Amino acid sequence: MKAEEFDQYVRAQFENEAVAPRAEVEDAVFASLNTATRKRRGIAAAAILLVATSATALWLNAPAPAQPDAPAPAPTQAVAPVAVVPAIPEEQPAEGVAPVASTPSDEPERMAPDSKEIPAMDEHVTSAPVAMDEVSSRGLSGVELQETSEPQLQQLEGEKWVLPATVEVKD
Amino acid sequence: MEAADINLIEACKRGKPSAQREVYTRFSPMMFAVALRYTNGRADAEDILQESWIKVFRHIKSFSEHNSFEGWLRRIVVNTAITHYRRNQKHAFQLDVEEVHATPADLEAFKELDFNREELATAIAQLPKGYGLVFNMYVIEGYKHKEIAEQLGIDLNTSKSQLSRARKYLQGILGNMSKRAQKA
Repeated sequence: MKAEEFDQYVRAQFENEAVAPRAEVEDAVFASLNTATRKRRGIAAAAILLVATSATALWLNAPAPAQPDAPAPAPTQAVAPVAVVPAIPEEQPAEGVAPVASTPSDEPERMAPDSKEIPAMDEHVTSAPVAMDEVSSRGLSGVELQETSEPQLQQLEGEKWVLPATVEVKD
Repeated sequence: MEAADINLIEACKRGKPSAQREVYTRFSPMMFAVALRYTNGRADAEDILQESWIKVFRHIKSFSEHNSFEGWLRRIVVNTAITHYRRNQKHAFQLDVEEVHATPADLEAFKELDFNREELATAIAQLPKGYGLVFNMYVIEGYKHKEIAEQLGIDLNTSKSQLSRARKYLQGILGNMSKRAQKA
């Protein structure tokens, strides 16, 4: 018998060979798989946490990015006086009534700033309180001043006020 | 490969436990039989089987459906058995490089072979470990000598000589078995 024949004979005997392992092996295999999976997930979670923590720490400690091409902004930004001109075209100012500057009122229910409406303005004002200019009283053009029963407003004429101020004009 | 098998493997790739169980149930007997041929006992074969399955599920995403899944599984078992063998070797993995061929007289003794699988398995298990490895890989698994040399870290000619020695050794064992059977 040639070597090739012998090999062929042996190979044919082992075709479709099958021996059932014990049932405990299956449990051991899947227990190992579960352990390995949990371990991998734990490592992945730890890695993500580490990266997130590092990124946050870097972000918090990083200096503000320099902008060499852009003109250096003023360290503080003065708040320009803003004249509030309500759009009420059909109404004319009443003659004989002194113009009233937009001023803050002592009445808290009217002039209390709404934090939802003017967050940006708060930032400007608080960042440069020194650079603010005094604002003279200015008349409101195109506003018909209605008769009001608030004498305090009248008494304030001629006084000077400093912004910030927010005036809401409602119909 | 059938569509159902492809779907099953795809489910395993997604890590579906029921698919993994099904694949295990279907292919474990074949893999265990392979492992048994490379070891001295069931305990070692079970270790190899367990290790092989963990490798299978860990690397199943790299398996391509264009290949034979069973062939892929068999290779994993063989590789694991080789690793297991090397790990358990107290001495360096050495193979005799002396070229020994089975003589025509040895082969002539077997005009007709009449051994079943169990008898052949018993005879193969009696081979010296190095011979058994090469014989199993070449004759039963169908590896080429180049692959065997790479897997075992030996020279190509060493693989060839080990196979020749293994054949001669095995035929001697089978001859003795045959004589005993005739006496009985």
